[in-house]
Amino acid sequence: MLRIEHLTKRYKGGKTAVSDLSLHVRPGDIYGFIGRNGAGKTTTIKCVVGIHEFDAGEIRVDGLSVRKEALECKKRLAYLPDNPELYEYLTGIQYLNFMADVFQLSAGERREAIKREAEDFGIYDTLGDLISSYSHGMKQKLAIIGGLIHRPGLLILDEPFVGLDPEAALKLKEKMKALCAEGSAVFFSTHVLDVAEKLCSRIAIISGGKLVLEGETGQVLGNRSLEQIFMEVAVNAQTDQTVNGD
Amino acid sequence: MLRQIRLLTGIRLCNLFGINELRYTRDKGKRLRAAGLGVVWILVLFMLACYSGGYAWGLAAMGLEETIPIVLAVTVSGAVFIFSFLKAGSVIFQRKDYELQQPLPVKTAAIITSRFLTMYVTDLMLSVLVMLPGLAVYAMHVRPGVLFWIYAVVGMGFLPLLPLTVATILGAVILAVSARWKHKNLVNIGLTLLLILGALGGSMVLSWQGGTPEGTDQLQDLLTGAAGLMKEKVGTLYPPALWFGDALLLQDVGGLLLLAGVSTAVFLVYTAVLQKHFSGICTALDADSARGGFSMKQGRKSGLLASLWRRELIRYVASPVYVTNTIVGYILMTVVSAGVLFVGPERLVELLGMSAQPGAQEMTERLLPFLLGLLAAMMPPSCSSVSMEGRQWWIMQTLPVPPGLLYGAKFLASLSVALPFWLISEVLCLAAIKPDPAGAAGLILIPALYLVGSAAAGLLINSRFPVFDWDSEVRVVKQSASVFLTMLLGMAAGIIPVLVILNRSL
Repeated sequence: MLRIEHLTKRYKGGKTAVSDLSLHVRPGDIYGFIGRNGAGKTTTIKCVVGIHEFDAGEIRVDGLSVRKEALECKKRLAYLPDNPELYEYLTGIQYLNFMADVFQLSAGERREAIKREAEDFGIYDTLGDLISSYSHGMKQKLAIIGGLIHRPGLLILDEPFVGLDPEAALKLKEKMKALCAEGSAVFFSTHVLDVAEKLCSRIAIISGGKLVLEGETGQVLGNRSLEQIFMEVAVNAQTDQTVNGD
Repeated sequence: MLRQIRLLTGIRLCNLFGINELRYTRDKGKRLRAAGLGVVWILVLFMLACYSGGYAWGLAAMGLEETIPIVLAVTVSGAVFIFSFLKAGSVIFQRKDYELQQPLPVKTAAIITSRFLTMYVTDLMLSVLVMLPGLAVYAMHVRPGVLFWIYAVVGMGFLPLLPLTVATILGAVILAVSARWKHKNLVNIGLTLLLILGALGGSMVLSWQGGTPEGTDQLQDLLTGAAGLMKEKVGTLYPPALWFGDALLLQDVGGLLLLAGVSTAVFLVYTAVLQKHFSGICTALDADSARGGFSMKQGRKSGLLASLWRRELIRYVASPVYVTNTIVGYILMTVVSAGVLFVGPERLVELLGMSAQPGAQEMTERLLPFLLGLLAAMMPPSCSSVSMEGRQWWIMQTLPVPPGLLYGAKFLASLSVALPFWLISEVLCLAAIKPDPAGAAGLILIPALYLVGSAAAGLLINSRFPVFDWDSEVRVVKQSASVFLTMLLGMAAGIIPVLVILNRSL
């Protein structure tokens, strides 16, 4: 569903944020993308969703190049940033209707999807209010609903569990699993290793812009915890990069 | 408290005109664009200084040197008031900074003063730029003593204070009143537009009164050496300009003290009153009413363009500073058209000072479409529409929205705002002038071309020079490269044909 091949992204000023990164997210995968602050997770995600251009490599969504067929790729995915800035001047329902218009959902489809998702996340009652009156968590829930109503083939989330209440976090995990059961894929970055360990079918660890570990969760973990592996791999990689002057 | 004011003002001023960002950015393109814009700014400021100096030279050539300081003081005060009025409320009650500063152990008066001082610094720069060349011309002709320059420097410092305070009071009152309403943005827009219309109406009435047989034309006043009458008028309308003039011309320290005292006193009273209500107003502005109890009605599917266009219009009316700044040109267009109908084209000829020339009325009718076009092209909403996406730009970047449709919706929304004003203006002008078919076609099509052209050019410029990372809409609507360049282009497009027509007729 998502294939990243030899991705390299340099920022203006010369800093290499992501270097020769390759990974493959298959339909049905819940793929956890783990790394320290500044490791290159958000940059990679922003390259995938079309916010950042990149210097080398190729990214394909459902076999389509995000460079050459950007619009078709975007039709197949939904993206939620770590701090969703939404249109505060719209009401919740206006925002969701806008998203439904963009993805050309019929009147019946959108009505059913909006009602179902908004009730599940507990913000149905407030959909008539301006987004500017929402709390941070409510905005996050609204952004998630906006991403889910068109049943995307690929759901990409950047730190999705930060700011969510426990109930909403549980609901989001259920939604991710349900989506993958339908044949979609979920690719998300996280710092919460416990969640990644329990939720993900595959994980990847990125350090200093380079992929240092990737594989099926069970195989990667063996009989150790993800925390132990992360500390070992990420710290070693950081030390190597320092020694090599990267 | 002075330390707090210094700290808070410093943190705001360090990024004045985006200087701090430019200083530390590694983006060479950004630096290059800023350098280009800086060159344009320097050119414009140079032109402004030349205009001020030239105007003063003209007055001096007519033997009216003594009116120069007063004329400059009126010009600076008017400009400061106009430039500050539409942004003052947003700057004083800026939400983002409020959340950062209010929990800090600083006095509310320090917060208010620091915000005020940020505006004061830019206004002071404008004041100095307009004043210095004019005063230099005065000094070349009159050769005043050192005291003149001492008083001039002190006076220039105080001159922007009063109009800025008055503008800020009006901005604060409008925001305080609107904050009490559920649809506070619409109330804010309505009140601001009422004030603009009132000011325009007032200035038109004054202008027409000046031309009645009892009064005398301003130019004639000057030419017949009636500087005293002019001083009297200024003294009645805006006494601080006269105090400034007295201080410089008569070396009257009383005038200077009066200017400094009144300006400072008004500012202090304003700050004292405002600090009592500051938190309340900020909280009310920040709190949007939440009713809950939503129930789903029958969903309705819209086309993508229609949906994008609707979103643009909702975004437009959600921002009072965006509406009031971009709609002024359209209001002026309508007011001029109403003036042409209700006062008559003959009076317009008189106001333009062309009544003595043969065929003047015919020429004025030829100029009218371009005048309307110039006003229509001043600041189309499209020239800020890309930047107004702000930090929500990620949504458009990641949704499957073809850029053509997105920009098309912005273009259409800009035209939708202008359309009612254009229609009203056309009806008024056609009714007033009753032109022949060719004249009617020109009167209809030329302003329409300006509307369409400026909306397209504004959008193009903004897509080339977008600013997304802003904290206040004022940064986009009043201080961005895009708005500035669109305005320059609109003015050039409006003024050049006027000059060509005038040149041909001579």
